[in-house]
Amino acid sequence: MSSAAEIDLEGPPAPLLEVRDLRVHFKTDYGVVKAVDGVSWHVNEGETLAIVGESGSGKSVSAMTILGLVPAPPATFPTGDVFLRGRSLLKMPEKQQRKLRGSQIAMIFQDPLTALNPVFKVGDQIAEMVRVHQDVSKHTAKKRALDLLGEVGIPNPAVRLNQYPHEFSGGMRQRAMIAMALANDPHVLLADEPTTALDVTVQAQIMALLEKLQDDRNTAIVLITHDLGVVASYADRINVMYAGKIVETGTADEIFYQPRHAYTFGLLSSLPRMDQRRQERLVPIKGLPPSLANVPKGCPFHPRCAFASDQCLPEVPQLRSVDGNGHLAACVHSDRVAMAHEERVVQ
Amino acid sequence: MSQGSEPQQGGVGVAEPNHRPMLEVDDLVKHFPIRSGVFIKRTVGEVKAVDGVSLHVHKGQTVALVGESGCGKSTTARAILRLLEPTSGRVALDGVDITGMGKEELRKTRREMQIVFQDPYASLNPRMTIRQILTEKYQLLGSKMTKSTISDLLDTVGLAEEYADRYPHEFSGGQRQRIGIARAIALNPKFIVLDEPVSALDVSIQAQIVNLLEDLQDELGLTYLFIAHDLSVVRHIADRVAVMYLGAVVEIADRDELFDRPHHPYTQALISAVPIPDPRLERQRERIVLRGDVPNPANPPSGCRFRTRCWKFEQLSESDARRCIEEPPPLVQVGGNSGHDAACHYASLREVVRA
Repeated sequence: MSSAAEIDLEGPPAPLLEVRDLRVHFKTDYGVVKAVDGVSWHVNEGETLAIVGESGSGKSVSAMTILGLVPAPPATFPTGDVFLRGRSLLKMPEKQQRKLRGSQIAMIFQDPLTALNPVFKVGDQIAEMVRVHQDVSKHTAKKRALDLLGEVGIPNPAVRLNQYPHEFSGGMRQRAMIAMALANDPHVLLADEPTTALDVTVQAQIMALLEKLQDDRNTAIVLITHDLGVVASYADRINVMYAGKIVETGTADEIFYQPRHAYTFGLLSSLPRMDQRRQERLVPIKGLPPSLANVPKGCPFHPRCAFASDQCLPEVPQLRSVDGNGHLAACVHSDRVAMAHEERVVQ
Repeated sequence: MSQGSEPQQGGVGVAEPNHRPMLEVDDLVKHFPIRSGVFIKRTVGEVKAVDGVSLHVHKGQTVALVGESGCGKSTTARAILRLLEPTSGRVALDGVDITGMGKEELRKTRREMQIVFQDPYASLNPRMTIRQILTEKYQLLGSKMTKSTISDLLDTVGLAEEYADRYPHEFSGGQRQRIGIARAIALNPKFIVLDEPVSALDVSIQAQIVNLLEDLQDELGLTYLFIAHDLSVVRHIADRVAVMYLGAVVEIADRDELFDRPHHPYTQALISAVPIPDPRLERQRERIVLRGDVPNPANPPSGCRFRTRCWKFEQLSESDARRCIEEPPPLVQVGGNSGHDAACHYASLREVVRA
């Protein structure tokens, strides 16, 4: 590992990456938009943590904040911190943060065409990434770029190295982005909707690639997505977000087979399933996700919730354990949700 | 609405076998010329976007057209509606040939066939209110309106009347899609193309729109051609599914038959690639991962177009494989089931949804 990381990775067994009580607010003409409002999670080596939510739930903003990609102003960070192996990232001087970005923590984005620079050759962009963090010659960096392109399964890497992003197909571009993200052997990979813009056949290729790289390098992956199918196939643990908050967290099996928050239950019930003969009707969640400038009082989900009652109104429900262990839900009606889910399964 | 009881041709319909299909598409072709040169443009090649597609859709039914981006599914739909002029082939709506129609006649027929686009924001004029957008429809296609027309129409798609005087940007994605649907059903069409109508919507909203489309179909007897890449939605909404690859239909069957007993290696790969929201099932499933990308449609492979990415082709002996290279496979009946056709020399059943 390069000297860039002045972080003791052999230190005490703190989680690899930890986000604690993070709040990201934006001041707008319509009021304060609470994009992320008190979110805590962690991820360990070799683990895949999924953050699921609909658009506007704050799932991307929390990841962008980790990398310092959220400009302040307009953003403010009323509370919260991010720890890499127990060391605070946000309190670190900007210069040191920069060193960690891309070397310890890397990110891949949904749309590789906008994330890649159209006027530079793909190989040069990857080599640049290497040279920013490692003290190597241009030649060595280019050689490394060539190896990386091969590793992510791009055919004819020597030719592809000297092509521009527009000469790549969508899947190839996403592979090039992954190559760039891997350039400095990061410990954590933040993947923000990495396959949303791709066809399912290409999605399968890209996810298989990420799984293989994770096995080889023991990388932690934070997978941000709205696709519950992808989550079911690849996540170890899941955070479900709604209106800037985590409303339920647990292992993949807990979330899918024992949902305890009305929103999680609603999402699972609304999905059409490819493996089942036609359901009579889909069961949608009524209404729309709230505007983050004007989140409903009490439980933010209550206006759309089939289980809502007066108990949901006085205060925002806090995450609490539903099994005495790591499965948490912020729902006053988690028992009723459990019963409703059992009934659905029996049907 | 379907008239006459002529014997059905082609044998690719399901219900009402004695009636003429609402939509008949026969050997539809759409080629785009590739031009080169600075002053004198010469045609140097062709992109065969749609290369001989035949489909029948019966009244009140939904046929889904699925495939990866660039497979020609949207071009097929646009050529059917003559939003793009087909290169050759025949399209008939309720027995009336559309392909030969002149401009005026086609314009009149437009009220019978409508389209809902994927991105309702791009397809609604941002400078017009919803009332203006919908009124324009009646004026352009020469239909009468009463005082309550707009409010009734909005009510049908689940929007309150007071929304009529708002602009598109004031609506959420799901609401905009409702407006797009209102515009399509305004003049009581017979047939609607739904071009990825729920792909851009959030999961919780998707189900609302799918239910709306199904309700409208039941109430108004609509016939749908549903273009999609999301096979989970297709399994729910379609009666029949056609899988396209590089401009041609490679497999077509009734919904459950296609998902439970797929015969073409491409259909099998496509279905197996779709993740199912069920972690235990996903742990057992074996995914067929195709190599590479879809080839350039200007220069498709010889013989079977899928062979360059086909997992089965790789397992064939050299002499068997030669057939795939030399001979384009015809779309023929498979699995002993009439109405189930596949275009593969070595078509055979492989279960992929739960295995």
